[in-house]
This record gives sequence, C-alpha cells and structure tokens, in this order.
Amino acid sequence: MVSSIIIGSKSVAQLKENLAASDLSLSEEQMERLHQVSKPHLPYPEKFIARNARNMFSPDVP
Amino acid sequence: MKVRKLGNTGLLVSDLCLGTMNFGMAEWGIDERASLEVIDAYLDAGGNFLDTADVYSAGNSERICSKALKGRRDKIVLATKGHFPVVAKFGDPPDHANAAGSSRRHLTLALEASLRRLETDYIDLYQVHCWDEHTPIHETLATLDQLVKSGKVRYVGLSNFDAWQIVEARQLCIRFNWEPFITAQMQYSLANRDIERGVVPVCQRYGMGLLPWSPLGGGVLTGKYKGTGAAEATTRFGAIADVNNDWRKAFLNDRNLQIASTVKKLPIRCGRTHRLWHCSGSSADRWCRALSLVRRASRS
Repeated sequence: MVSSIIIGSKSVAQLKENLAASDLSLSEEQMERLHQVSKPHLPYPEKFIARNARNMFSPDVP
Repeated sequence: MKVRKLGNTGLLVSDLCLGTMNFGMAEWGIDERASLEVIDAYLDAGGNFLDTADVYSAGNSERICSKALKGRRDKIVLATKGHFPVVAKFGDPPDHANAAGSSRRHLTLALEASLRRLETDYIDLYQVHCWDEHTPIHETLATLDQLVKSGKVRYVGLSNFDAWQIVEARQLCIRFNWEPFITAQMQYSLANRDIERGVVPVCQRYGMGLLPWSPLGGGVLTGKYKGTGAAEATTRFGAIADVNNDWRKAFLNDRNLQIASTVKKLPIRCGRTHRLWHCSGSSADRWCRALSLVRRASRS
C-alpha cells in the first residue's frame, strides 16, 4: 500500500544513506521491539471495536 | 531503487521519492546548487519521483526543480501541491482572501503558478495540500477532475486529510465519475503512527498509495538530537529557538527520543561508517514498510 517513501536530504552523503536503507531488513523480533516502543494510543471507539472484533472472531486471541 | 505502482494506477514510481521541502530554504535547508546536486545524485541512483509544493520556500523549491527537469522531464514523475498561501514565511496570512484554500478559483490559479515556476506544461501528481474547512469538497473534486481533463494534471492526490474526509471524497468521485484521489501523503513514521487507526485502513480499502512524509520523524529518529533542549541551529528543530513551540514539541519530545534510542540499539550494520536500519520484505504491510527508513545520524 505504501507506494513511495518521501525522503529528505541535505547533502549527497545523506541521500546515499537514505537510499541504502532500501536494501536492509529487520527481523520480526526487531520489528516487535519497534512496535512496542512506538505503538500509538488507540482511542474509543477504535479500541473497543478492535478488542471486540478479536474476541468474536478469534477467541484464542486474548 | 525498486519501482512500484503509484496506488492503483499504471504509473510507476521509485519506492523512495525525493522530497524537496528543504530546497532553497534559508533556515534549515540548502541552497540551489546543493539542491541540484542532491537531485542529480537521486536521479543518477535510479530514482524517478520528485515531490514538491508551491509553498516550499515560497516557490523556490519548484523553481529549483524546474532546473533539474531540463532535458529529462519525460523520465521524471513530478508531484506538487496546492492549497496553502504562497507567502514569504509559511504560516503568514495570504495576500488576499482568495489566495489560499481548495476552492475552484485558488486551485486553478495555484496550478497555473506551479506550472510557470516548474517550466512544464503538466504535473504528474497534483495534490491538495490539506483538507479545506471552508470549500465544499465537491467543488474541489470537480475542479481537480477538470484539471485532469484539461491535460495539465495526470493524477490527483491528497495530503493531510482525516479518514472520513477521504471516504467522502471517494464516494463523491464514484457517484459523479470524477477522477479520484489515488494517493494520500501523510505524516507516518515510528515517531507518529496516528494514521494507522483511520487513514491507513481507508487507503487499503480503496487501493490508494500511501506516501509517508517525515519518515524519520523530522530527523529525530536518526538520533542526532541529544535532548529536547537547544540543538544545532542548522538542524530542523534547532532552527526553532522556542523549545515550547508546538510544532517543535510534536517531533522533538521525550517519547520520540526514546523511540530513536531503541532504533539506535538495533544490532544491524551496513556500510563502513554509516549504520542504517530498514524493515521490508515479507512483513511489508501497514506500518513496517512506511517505518522502514530509519537512518541513524552519521554526521560525525
């Protein structure tokens, strides 16, 4: 769904750092760490919907 | 660089788009010569997607881009935006009552001005820069549809809309057979994932292409800021002297510094002197792809 990420660069050196990022990847564990530290506050009603939808259709999910 | 579809269209763009907001900007940006060097390096590396806006540096960003387009316009996918008043300093009031917004009158004039500054006769992706509280959305959409039919714009996109506003716009476009918004340019990074609860699911539903801006949280995720206090004046938030400035605090705050610190500790290494982080591949969904471009500062 992401078509393109808009990068900003003040120099060719910064640009090259940005471009090189395309070739790297993170493990699931690393992604989870980033998720935990950055997860947004989910307000009502999104939180209510998310929790109840899970409970209804995937009872195994706490 | 990889090439991807721009939303659900036949237009192909690099997966990294070159933003141009800092081009020609006095405070924390770079001058024309340095800007053209960056654009050349980006195009030489295989990039094809430039994103500018009429308001960036009061038109200077578009003027700089025009020089980069010379002789290679057909290879470049050019995106710009209209809506905000083009004034000396962003945030200053418009020159007159109709010099801003997404009305038929202002958008039509804004596009003409962008075409003149960019010295081109068409824009590939024309984006409204923000939702307009005053203009009926059907006026904006009918105008954008006409701009596409006129041949001056190929595709239209939005920036800085809430989820319901995107839904309403899309439904009107379906009803009246207008050209729909194909992209949503939104702030999205580890430092700000607010769009995940609304805009992201809407984009998925309609097959729109998400174009995340400030993927490094305005530079905060690079780890170059040591605290929320004073910073180097040449940095984006160091250039804002008032530490209580709302815009500054939205990016440079304790939470985001904590996120940047976590990013720093990830044991991934690339290159000799630079460390770079990225997440993609199999888990290229929702946020991970957008949050991928996490670069640690390497100015030392």
